[in-house]
Amino acid sequence: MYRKQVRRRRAVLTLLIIGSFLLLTITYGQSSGGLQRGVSTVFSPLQTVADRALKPARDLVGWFDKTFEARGENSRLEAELVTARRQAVAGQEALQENAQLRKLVTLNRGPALAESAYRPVAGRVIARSPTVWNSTVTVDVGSGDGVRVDDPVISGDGLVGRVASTQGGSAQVMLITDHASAVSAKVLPGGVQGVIRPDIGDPEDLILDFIDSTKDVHGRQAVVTSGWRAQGRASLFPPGLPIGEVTSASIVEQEASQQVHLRPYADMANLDLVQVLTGGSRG
Amino acid sequence: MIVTPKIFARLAAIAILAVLLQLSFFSRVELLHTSADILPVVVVSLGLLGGSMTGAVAGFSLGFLVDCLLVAPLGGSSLVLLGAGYLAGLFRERFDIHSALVPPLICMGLTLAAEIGFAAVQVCSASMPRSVC
Repeated sequence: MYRKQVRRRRAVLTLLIIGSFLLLTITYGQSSGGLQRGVSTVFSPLQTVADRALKPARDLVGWFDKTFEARGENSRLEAELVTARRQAVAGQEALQENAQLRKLVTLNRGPALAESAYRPVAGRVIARSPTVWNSTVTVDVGSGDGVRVDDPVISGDGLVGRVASTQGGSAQVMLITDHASAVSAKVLPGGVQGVIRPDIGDPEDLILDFIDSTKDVHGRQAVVTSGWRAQGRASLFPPGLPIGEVTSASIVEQEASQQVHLRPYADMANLDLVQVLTGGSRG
Repeated sequence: MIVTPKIFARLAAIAILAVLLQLSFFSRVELLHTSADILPVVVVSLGLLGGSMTGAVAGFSLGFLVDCLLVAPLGGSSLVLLGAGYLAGLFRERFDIHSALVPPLICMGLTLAAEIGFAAVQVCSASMPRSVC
């Protein structure tokens, strides 16, 4: 009885396997289309009903799937946003730095410095004084880089100040807006000369003093370093370094001079990249 | 298992329902970037319940029906599913199932084997020459 069952079972299995291979053979002989179409036609209404009935369930599962996916995507996008923000900030910093360096290079190639004996040493401002009275900044180049006391310091826009003290890897720069600063300068065109001192309490304003009241000075004229040299002494600053632009000029009462106000070209409040002009002659 | 007309009708209903569910629901929903294939599970379950004959016939029938409705090459799914159903039934006939964990484990193993079988059939089908229309 058991053997008969086994034989029967094996026979059915063999038959089914042969049937499967036969179907495969028929399929690849390209003659099963009619059979498949017939079965499809019979089951088509059932499939339609099942499709419509199961649509809400499909939508529900799809909603869960999309929700999970959206949460994952949200986390990924947030991470991408953080990265993109960092890159954007880095890009903006690089652009700003590039603009400053371009200005510095332009200034180095200009008439004031191109033919001079100065060797520019680029540095970055790493600290600045917190008060408006003592306008000094610290740069990350010092005596180790060849920086000496009284070396002129410029930014891409123009004169910034001079070195007040140095250490091995840093130097303190006294800005031209510091109350102890005085720079000999001249107004262009015309060459009217005077001394620039800060307007105490207003770092955005400089005063050009000791100008003959008969000389015509008016707004928007450029002021540059005069770079004088006399009797073996010389100005700390080379001639022709841009300092600022005249904003107003007024006759000082009962005096034979006029006071010229100017706005420095260099943005003293936001200094970043500067150059120390090392190796120049001193008086 | 003695297959009476009533049992046969039930088996046929289960097979049709399984195929319709597979084609209209499980194949069309994606969860975690994949779709479920319940046909091997159904065939293995029928094999475990009814024995090797039932499993083999159910597998062949389900495979045939799926291939017909999908207008896929006939015989491939039948061959794979009848193997899965037969092996499940054979296990039931040869061994006693003492633990409740055994059927799910067999189901898992045979489903994996069936999916590998489907892949093999696909590879064979792809390498077969076809006429260009």
